[in-house]
Amino acid sequence: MSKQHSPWILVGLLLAIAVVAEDLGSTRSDGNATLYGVGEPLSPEQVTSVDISVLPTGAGLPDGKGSAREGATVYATHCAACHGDNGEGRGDYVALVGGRGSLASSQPVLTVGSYWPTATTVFDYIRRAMPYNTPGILTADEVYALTAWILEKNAILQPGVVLDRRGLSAVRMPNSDGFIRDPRPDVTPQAHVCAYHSDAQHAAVILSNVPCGADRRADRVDSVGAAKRNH
Amino acid sequence: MKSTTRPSSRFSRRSFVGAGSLAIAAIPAAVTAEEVRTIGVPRREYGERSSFERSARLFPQTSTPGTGASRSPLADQYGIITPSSLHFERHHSGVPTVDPALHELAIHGLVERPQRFTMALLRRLPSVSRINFIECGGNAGREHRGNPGATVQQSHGLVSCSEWTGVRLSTLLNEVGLKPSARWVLAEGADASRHARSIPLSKALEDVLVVYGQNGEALRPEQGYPLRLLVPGWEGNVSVKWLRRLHVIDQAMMTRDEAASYTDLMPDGRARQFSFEMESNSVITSPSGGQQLDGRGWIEITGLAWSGRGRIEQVDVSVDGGATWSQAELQAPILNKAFTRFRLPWRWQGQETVLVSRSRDETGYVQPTRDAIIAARGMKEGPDGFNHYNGLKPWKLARDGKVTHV
Repeated sequence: MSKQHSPWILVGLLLAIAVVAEDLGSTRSDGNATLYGVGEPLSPEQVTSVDISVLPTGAGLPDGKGSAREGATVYATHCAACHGDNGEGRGDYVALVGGRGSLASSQPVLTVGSYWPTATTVFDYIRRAMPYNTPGILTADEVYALTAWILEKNAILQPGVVLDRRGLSAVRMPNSDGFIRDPRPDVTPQAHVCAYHSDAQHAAVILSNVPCGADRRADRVDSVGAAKRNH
Repeated sequence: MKSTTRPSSRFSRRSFVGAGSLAIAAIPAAVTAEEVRTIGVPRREYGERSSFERSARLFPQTSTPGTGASRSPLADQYGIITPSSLHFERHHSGVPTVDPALHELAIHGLVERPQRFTMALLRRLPSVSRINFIECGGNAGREHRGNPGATVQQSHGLVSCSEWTGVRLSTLLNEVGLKPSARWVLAEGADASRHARSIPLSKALEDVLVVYGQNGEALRPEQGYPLRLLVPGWEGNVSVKWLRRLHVIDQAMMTRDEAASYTDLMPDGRARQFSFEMESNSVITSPSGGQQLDGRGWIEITGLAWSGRGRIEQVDVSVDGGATWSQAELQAPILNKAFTRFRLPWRWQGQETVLVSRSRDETGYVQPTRDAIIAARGMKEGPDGFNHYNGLKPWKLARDGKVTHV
């Protein structure tokens, strides 16, 4: 494992290569990037016609409103065939309801109610991708109503609430604090494999992670051309 | 070596002759003066592979055919480039038919000059070609679950490597002018489900491309024709296909695929989010599960290694279940966030044993064992199964030459 090289020499070399690569790969000259100006202007109306995304702040939510009661009708028409009459899921089709408080248990049930961190995601995803066979068919009112139905079924919304831009922006999901940033690399680099058996019957044991002081090299392997890089 | 997945070896000489006048591959023991040869087929406008070749992507039938994945036959691949026709697929709502003459990319949000680019306008901008792998975040997730794939296609087939050609995203963002509050870029596809992911601005400006070319020709429809994002080294889900819109924002959009899917549920019930990088990985593609060694003697152990954090520094191969390791030869060029082909000639003595490879990338990170990953992350599946798995993949070689998963 490159024990003959000082790591600092390697780091220096990589930095030098990175600097050179950046220089070669850049369109910049004397610190400023060239402006090519080939794009066509996009008017505010054109932005509105293509922009369907909703931010966690609620920015991007359209005008409109809907209640869970109205949502029940929309759900029965467009959703129940796959997700079940009460959002319980069916086969390959995920459950939308239930599982609150189950994430730390040995049988976590991951649904919109138990898992999703933001309520705006529910609206955004329904408008973006559902119903599966005909996404885009629902009006803004219907998406609000469906969102209200799913949130009410999960006891996140009080019964009878009419959901709109302001109401949805204010909804706090039960698992909103349940997410952490990627801490990787989380598996220690000394995770070299060390064997204490060498027969295939015990392969599962052999390949378990037993950290060892030194990287054991092959002292007798029938190979040629190993330990050589083909640069 | 005989292989059940490498079709060329399935055809005996007899079947070559049986293929009739088109077959010229069978070489007679002695060419006689009386032999009459026939001319071959004429030219053709777009080449097809030999009719003897059968290598194919693999996918199960699903209740929603538009949603699902197909796996690349890695055991059949030579070198580091995956043929475009065999590149793995993952779609959420089928492959859309997008007319390039009508397709436009809109860029708006926290920018000074919202703009739209037709394909023709994009081609006026400086282009770049780069070889990068794309790996689905869920590749080899079944290995984490303890349901190992019987073949390398089944276990690791959701990764492929191509040469991609397009425009740097940094070039496009410079064209529209970023406002100081810009922090993330939402990328959105033109598929039916308008697949969307948020990418931190630092990555967007570092090495992300907006590509229209793959392996010397236009993107394949299932790879995003006519335009896709290429986010090198990161889970494939963020390399949004059929790219129609880039929305510059000040925080992540929290789309379903970043707020729920592609998150990793930990034993304490919390979940890791925005786990973008695919860590250093490797797998022996030959001999691998489903293949059969003809007999003892010299063979070439070969496979693929890759890392989402940079170049592959070293690959070790063990032919005795991890007791001892040999450094494999790495085929140049060894590229950043690309497949690296490794090889180790080996003389099999006919014994039962376990073959396994282990990669190390330029950050010093060493590919871990499954046990080490489970010790760190537990055994709880996220909404879409296990993601970001990169454990060692051992293959058992039996005395009769049969190769199976361990």
